[in-house]
Amino acid sequence: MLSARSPQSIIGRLWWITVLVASGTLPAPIPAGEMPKAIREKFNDAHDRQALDSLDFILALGLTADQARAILRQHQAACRLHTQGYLEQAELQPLEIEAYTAFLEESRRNQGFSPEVEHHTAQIHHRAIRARDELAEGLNALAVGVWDVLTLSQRQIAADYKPNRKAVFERFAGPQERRKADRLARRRAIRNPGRHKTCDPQLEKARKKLESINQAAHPRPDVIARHLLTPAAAESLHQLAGVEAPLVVREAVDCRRLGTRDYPLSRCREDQSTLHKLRAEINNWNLANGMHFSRDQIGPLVELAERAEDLKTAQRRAKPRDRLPRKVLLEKLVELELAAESVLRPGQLEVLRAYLPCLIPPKNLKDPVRVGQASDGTRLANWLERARRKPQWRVERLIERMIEREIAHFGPMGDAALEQRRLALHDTVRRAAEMNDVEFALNKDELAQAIQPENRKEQLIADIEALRRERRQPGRTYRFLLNSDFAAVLSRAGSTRRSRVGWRLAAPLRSRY
Amino acid sequence: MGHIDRRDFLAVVGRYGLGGCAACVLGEFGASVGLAGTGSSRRWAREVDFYQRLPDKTIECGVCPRHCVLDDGETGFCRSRINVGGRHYARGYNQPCILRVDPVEKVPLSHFLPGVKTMTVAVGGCNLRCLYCQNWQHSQTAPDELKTFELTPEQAIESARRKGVRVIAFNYTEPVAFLEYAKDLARAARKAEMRVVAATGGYVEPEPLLDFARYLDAITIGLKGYTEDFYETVCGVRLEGVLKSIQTIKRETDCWLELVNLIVPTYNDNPATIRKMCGWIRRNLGVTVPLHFSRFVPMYRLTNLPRTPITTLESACDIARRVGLKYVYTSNIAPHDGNNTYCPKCKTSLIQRLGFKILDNRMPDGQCPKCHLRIPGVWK
Ligand SMILES: [Zn+2]
Repeated sequence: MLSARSPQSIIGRLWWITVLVASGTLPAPIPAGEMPKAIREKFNDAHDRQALDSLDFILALGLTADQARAILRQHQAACRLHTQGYLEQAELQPLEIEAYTAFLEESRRNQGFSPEVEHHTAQIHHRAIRARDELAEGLNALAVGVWDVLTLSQRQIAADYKPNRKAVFERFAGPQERRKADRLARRRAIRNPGRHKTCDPQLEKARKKLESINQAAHPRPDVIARHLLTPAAAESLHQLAGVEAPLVVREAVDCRRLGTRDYPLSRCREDQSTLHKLRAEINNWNLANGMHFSRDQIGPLVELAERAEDLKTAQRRAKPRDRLPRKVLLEKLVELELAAESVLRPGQLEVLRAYLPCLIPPKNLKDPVRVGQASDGTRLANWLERARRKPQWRVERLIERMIEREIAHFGPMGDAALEQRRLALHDTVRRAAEMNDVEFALNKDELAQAIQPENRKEQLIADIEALRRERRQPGRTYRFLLNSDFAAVLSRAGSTRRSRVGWRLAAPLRSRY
Repeated sequence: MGHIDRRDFLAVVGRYGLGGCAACVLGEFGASVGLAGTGSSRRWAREVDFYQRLPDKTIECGVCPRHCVLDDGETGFCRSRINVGGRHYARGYNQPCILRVDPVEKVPLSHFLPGVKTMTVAVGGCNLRCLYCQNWQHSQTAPDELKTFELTPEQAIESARRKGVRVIAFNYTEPVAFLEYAKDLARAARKAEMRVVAATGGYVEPEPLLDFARYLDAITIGLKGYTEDFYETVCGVRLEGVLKSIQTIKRETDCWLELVNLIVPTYNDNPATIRKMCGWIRRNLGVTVPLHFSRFVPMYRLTNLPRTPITTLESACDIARRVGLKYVYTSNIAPHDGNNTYCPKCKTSLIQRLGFKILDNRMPDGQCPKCHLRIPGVWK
């Protein structure tokens, strides 16, 4: 495993750093300063980012050899989980590709989804999510044992830790690598002008909040699980502990670097990229189908998307001195976005405002009855219908379960908010129970509306959109509609809409009577 | 006897005099007529208004053109009227299975008090057998076999008043099948100065229709196709009867009329037929009657068909406009430009909708703000 010990290879470098650290000759890492973006991105692309992070983390903690030995048991268990996770991925990804391909076929036809395909897709999708969640939960459970090994100050360092690859990079990157890193960073900034990180603090804050809500929906490995309980930390950890890595760890390391014989890493990456493309196209079809563009809208929208794409390509290809200043580029994109919005009808704008990309089309795009309603309260109304007939102790349980689901969905709540939510649910169930059936039938939508959980996500999206408007930055219309992928889907939708689809005639059925 | 299904059971029960429950009704029903009693005695509390007594306790129903001839104990084709001892009774009277608050756009009605909330009432049963029925769970079941509410017309009005709703709507199932309850409720609503609207397949005899329409403010009739073949194959009734109802409403009542045509791929999407249908509408009803082309969604017995392609709906709208119809809409599809109302003269956007939701109404008084054209409909 540790065969590549030449200082030119990255593994060799890691090995040397580890040896030096272990022998006490390497000084503590350079304190984190303002890391130039280009350097960070260079590391994202070119090197074993996770191994660097793990090493940096171990250095930052100042982990001792005894401590390293004490956590080897958890590390081994984690390696086993990672290998299992990879094997599961090997099984699931091809299934996902198969399911999403069938789903995409139906999306392209825009005739609704057959229940089998929709059900199968949802099933596979949820299985994949569950597998990811379970891995994270397993790792977090193991991390508890590792936290116990750390001293109080180490725990503090770990809690505040942010990857500092700068220290390692600055020491080892040559001028050629630096130039490459700069080039990469520039290209990325052009490709995604709206997502530039330095835009402004207010926007950044709202975006961070939204991100944290999105992340709260699923368990994430904590800092220990991310940086220590990973095969990427195996080399450093075992070097430090002065122990030979056991088979289970070596397998996990190999699995991480090469994959398995049946499912090599190259194929895994390929499948991941296929899945990414499938999901992106399905999202685009969901939106294109749900917006019901008329014939006279498709042409102008495709043209505007192409112009936006041309603008970005020209910017990318231009010599640095010929490039438009970022502000001017954004301004031009905003103009295109406003032009696109003028093509859309108010109903379409309303749908776009609330649109969240989703594999299975969200209800409001699928069911015209629900389109445009403030929020779909059917689920809550049905919940109330059940709850109002239950005895008090069952109501308590229903409410607790409801709150758990909401936390999983919308992110954690503070104690006060939790108590308030509990009270609101209790109060509404009580009111529903006091009504007779007729009153309840006529009032259930309003009752459901009253306990609709505050959709912080939707609110944040609206806030971000408003801020972008104010700052003349392209927003959701640009993001969802003005790109070459969506234009391709739209053109295709336009061309299939011109041809009439022939369908087999339904067998005339006799009525029952 | 290995297996008996619901239908066999009902047939057997029918043959032997409706079993214990009905037998007791037969004994005492004379005294219970008109009483809101409890239990079985109130089940046949409302006699049907239009039927003929024939010899041997047989009756001929006169509500719809089917004219079911029923022996004692038999239920009509609509599943909602029954011959009890030679008299015709409504099943499911005071027993709506659906009760909810909806926007009037759901009927669909686009020229009637845009955005107003209705208390929608539906009782099970239907005298049509549309293979694509979107509410078959309710419409293709006898009214008293469903989970229902107990609600007299007076109680319904009181509930609507408490809810602050000023319009009663009959939707989801077929009001012709529960005409007795619908009429009594509509009459009570009139008395309480509420408005009443209804969606119907229109397969009803003129006399009962006019009798009901006295209390109606607006009606949407489903003109489901324009060939006898389509009506017979898909809906199990005859086109002629529906056309007659539409003409009756237009010529003999003040009720606001809109039409809805649900386009089923391969069944009634032939452009030539659609053109003929629009021509009939123009000749018989004029160019201002709103026409909704509704999108088919696979349902009930036509699950082997796709949803109506949007192009088909748009072509149908084009055809209708070329024929000269001025207010053509698409429904069951949103967001779509066909949801909106435009001034036929100056093309100004008058009402922007998203499905059933009003996004923008620029003519609360029913007049185009730009060219001042009066848009027909009920706006106040
Ligand atoms: Zn006008």
